[in-house]
This record gives sequence, structure tokens and C-alpha cells, in this order.
Amino acid sequence: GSREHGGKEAGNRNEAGNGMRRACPAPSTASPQLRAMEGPGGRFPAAAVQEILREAVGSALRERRYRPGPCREAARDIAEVVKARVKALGVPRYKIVVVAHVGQLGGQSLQVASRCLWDPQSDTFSSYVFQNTSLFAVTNVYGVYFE
Amino acid sequence: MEEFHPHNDEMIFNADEAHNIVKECIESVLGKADYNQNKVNQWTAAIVEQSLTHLVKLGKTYKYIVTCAVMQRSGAGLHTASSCFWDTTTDGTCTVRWENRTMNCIVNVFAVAIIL
Repeated sequence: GSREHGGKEAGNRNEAGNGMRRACPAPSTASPQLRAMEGPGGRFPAAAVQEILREAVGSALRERRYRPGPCREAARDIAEVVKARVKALGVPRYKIVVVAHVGQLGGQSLQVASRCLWDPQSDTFSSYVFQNTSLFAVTNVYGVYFE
Repeated sequence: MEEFHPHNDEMIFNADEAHNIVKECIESVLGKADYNQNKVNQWTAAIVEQSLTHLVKLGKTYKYIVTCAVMQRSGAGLHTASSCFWDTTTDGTCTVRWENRTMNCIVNVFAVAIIL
């Protein structure tokens, strides 16, 4: 069944009293529709990152069938390309982490969850799910602000 | 609140330490279990939550991103890749792969240093 993604944060708690809070992005599951999810805040250009994800993942995988070798390469390429393009946006003082999962559609179930200990005022993430008849891809971009 | 003064020139991410922490968290959550669609949500949340808690206890001034993927073993393939733009002297990552008879689990930890 499909799950509602609102990109909402749940359970922010103060950690160690230094302004760090836990942000709990909703888990992404591969689903029939293309899903885009975003976290809050900061000066990270969420819309531009979404466009980068859509473009990079789409062009890497759109007409592809799942094959282990090429899909391993595709996961690596997607991670590299997305990182390079997000970096090229030139947002000052942000570190970037990109994680890409590419898998075969075999009727199996997959759950991807992530949780971050960071500052929700400035740090954020974007997530993108792609699926065709033979494979799926879940790609997350995390932007972490540093002083 | 305790005062904490890190020495930034000594801050290097200890991947082995993180690896052990995460491996134990996975074992404690998934160790004896068979894949269960109804439970996988709370399992991934538990693995990530416990890993984060233990990492924070190390007391280092890092922001952490922990990602966990749990997949039913059905012969289907899964590839995971990551790419980071950060300070390679202080920041680091570790990946833990784990499996049992019915499922695969991949956990990534990314540690991003905070300069105080």
C-alpha cells in the first residue's frame, strides 16, 4: 500500500543543549508514483535540488532494464552527478551528502529510513523516488550547514 | 550543561568505532527476526535511532546522518552508492552490510564536523 509522505519532522528534541535537534525524515518506499519529499529550512535551494534529482535519475535510468553491472554503475553515477550539480549551485557554507539506491523490481519489499542529528533551522534533505517496469531508485540529498 | 572543548586538529572520524556501534545495533534489532512487512518500519527506525544515540554518546562534535535500508531477500539486486562534498580531514563515513536468511540490511553513517 502507499504511504503518505509529508516531509514533516516528528519528535524534535534538544540534544546536549547546544541547539542540535533530531530531525526524523519520513521513510521512503518505492511506489507507483514519482514521489518528491523535502525537509525544512535554511538557505538550501530545495526546488533546484529536486530538479537536479529528477533530471539526473531520469536520464540515468529511464529506458533501462535492471542488470547488475550497469545498475551498480548507475548508482555510482547518479550519486556523483547529483553531488557535482548540487555543488555547482554554489550555496555557500553547505556540505553535501548524496545517497543513491538502485534495485531490481522483484516483488520484494524495501524500506529505506534515515534519521539525522543536526540543526533543523539550517540543515535539510531532499528525496526522490523513481520506478519503471524493471527497476527502482531512491535518492536522498542531505545539505548540512557549517559555520 | 557541560563545557566541551574539542581540539579540531585532532578530530578525525573513527570509522571502525562507528562500524562496531552500528553492527551491534543491527544485531540487536534484526538478529533473530525473519522478514516481516508489518515490522520493517519500526525496525529501520529502531536501528537508525539506536545508532544515532550511541554515536552521540561518543561526545564528538559531529552532525550525523544515518541511513538504513532493509530489503527482503528474494534474489533481487540492490546497489547503493554515495558521494559527498565536505572536509575530508574531519568528516567521514562508514557503511555496514548485514544479512540473515530472510533479509539484507545496509546502514550508512555520515559524520559532518561542526567547527566551534
